[in-house]
Amino acid sequence: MTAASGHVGDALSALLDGELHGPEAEAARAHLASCAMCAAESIAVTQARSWLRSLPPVEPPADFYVRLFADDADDANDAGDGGDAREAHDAPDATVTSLVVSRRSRVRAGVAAMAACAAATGVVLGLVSPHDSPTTPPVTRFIEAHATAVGDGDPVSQLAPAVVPVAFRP
Amino acid sequence: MRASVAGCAFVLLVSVPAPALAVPAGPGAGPTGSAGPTGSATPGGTVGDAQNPFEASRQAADRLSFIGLVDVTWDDTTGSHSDRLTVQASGGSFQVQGGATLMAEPGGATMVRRPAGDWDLLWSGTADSASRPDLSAKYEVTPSQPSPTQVASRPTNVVEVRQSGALRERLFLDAENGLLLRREQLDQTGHVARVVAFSVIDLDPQIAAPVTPARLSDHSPQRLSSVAAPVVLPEGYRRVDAYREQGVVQVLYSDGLYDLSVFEQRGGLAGADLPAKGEKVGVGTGKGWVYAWPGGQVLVWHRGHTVYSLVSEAPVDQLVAVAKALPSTGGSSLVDRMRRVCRSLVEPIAA
Repeated sequence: MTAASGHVGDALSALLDGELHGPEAEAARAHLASCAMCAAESIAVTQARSWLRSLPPVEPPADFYVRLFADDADDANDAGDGGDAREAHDAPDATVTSLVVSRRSRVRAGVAAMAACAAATGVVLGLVSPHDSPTTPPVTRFIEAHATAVGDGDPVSQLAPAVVPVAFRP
Repeated sequence: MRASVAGCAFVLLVSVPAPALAVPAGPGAGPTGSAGPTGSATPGGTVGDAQNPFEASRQAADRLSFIGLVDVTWDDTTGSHSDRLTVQASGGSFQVQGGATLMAEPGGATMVRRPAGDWDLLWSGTADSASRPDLSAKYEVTPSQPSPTQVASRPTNVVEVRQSGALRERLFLDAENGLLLRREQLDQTGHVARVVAFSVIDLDPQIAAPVTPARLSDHSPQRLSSVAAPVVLPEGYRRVDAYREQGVVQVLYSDGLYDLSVFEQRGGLAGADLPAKGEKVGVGTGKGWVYAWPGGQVLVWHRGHTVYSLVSEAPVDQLVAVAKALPSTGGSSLVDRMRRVCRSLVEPIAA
């Protein structure tokens, strides 16, 4: 719990992750029971986590990284703002609004950092993984190879179909 | 037969004498046409060899001299199709001429004439395939009633090939010499999906052997002494042999009646380049595409880092069963899928 503000603050994530124990956890739960703002935030975060877990895997569009890096730059600016907010947060007369801004900025900065890490991991994995070159089976050649490899049997019904012109084209 | 041809010398074809045959109304006109002379049929041959009619026909084609017209009729998703071909055989050499020309030598060499006139050697005839499964292990071969029936004005004995009671093939064998004059293949619904039939045949000992080409480009596959492929597959298919040509591995299977070639290529399937008239089928958790060709089906699918193409005369249901059972040659683990996803993300940026 953030002692200065009197709200749960960053301890909320730790509580939801089960990382708070003992008196800290009890204090946080007691605060959530009496503070509407923190309770609402707790519900919102819980819902968001639930939605995220239920989302199907999505392949990002081709311009994902371009936009990501652009957002990253914005987040860097936000992080600077976050520093100001943190100062305001630490000040005894900090407002609730400034605290929310501070938390959002840090969350965004964290998300951006994680996305950057994931992107870097993806780049490394993508570069070192074996490359599947696009392959189009030469169907006509395969038919010829099959018909001529089949040695036993009736030659007419075996070979005749292989000379019929069939176009296997897209 | 492939098994009997190793080490033989080959005579190569230079030109193809044009056959002088009366042409009936058209493909699919039925078993009509001019009755040819008896020719060089060997009395007392393997006529009516009900247990292995294909072997009987092969032996007849090896010893007879004949020239004829053969109609090939087949169905695909767009409807029914047919084409007429010229067939000539003498002295164990065999030639079939249509859009392309294929020629098989007594030694087993098989070659194709390309539209530009060049000849490619597709099979050298030097490999000796392992024995195939016994036809009777999976199929029942029984004479059909009523018989005989005329095909190309020649009396035939009709033989039916059944699998667990279901009719798979109907064979019309020349009553005098055992040559297969008409072959009907039925699909799993009992519909005749494919017919290869003589509309005209002229049996004559004076017919010359096809002339072999003077020059050949060798495109014959290299036989592999060992291959990482299942020995046994569903539907009674057993591995017969394996080859490699232009970096593509071909594993040949047989169930005694149908042969089945599995082609393996490293890479990912370029779906946009696949022919448009394929029929989508489920192959395990993935999907594949089936294409009909005049002799059977081709099933194409992708798994792991490998593109598979399965070519066979067998019905589609058997191909799908085999495809499902083929193990992946790698690349389907979670880490591997992650790598492929990452590569798909990185490639557009790298480009």
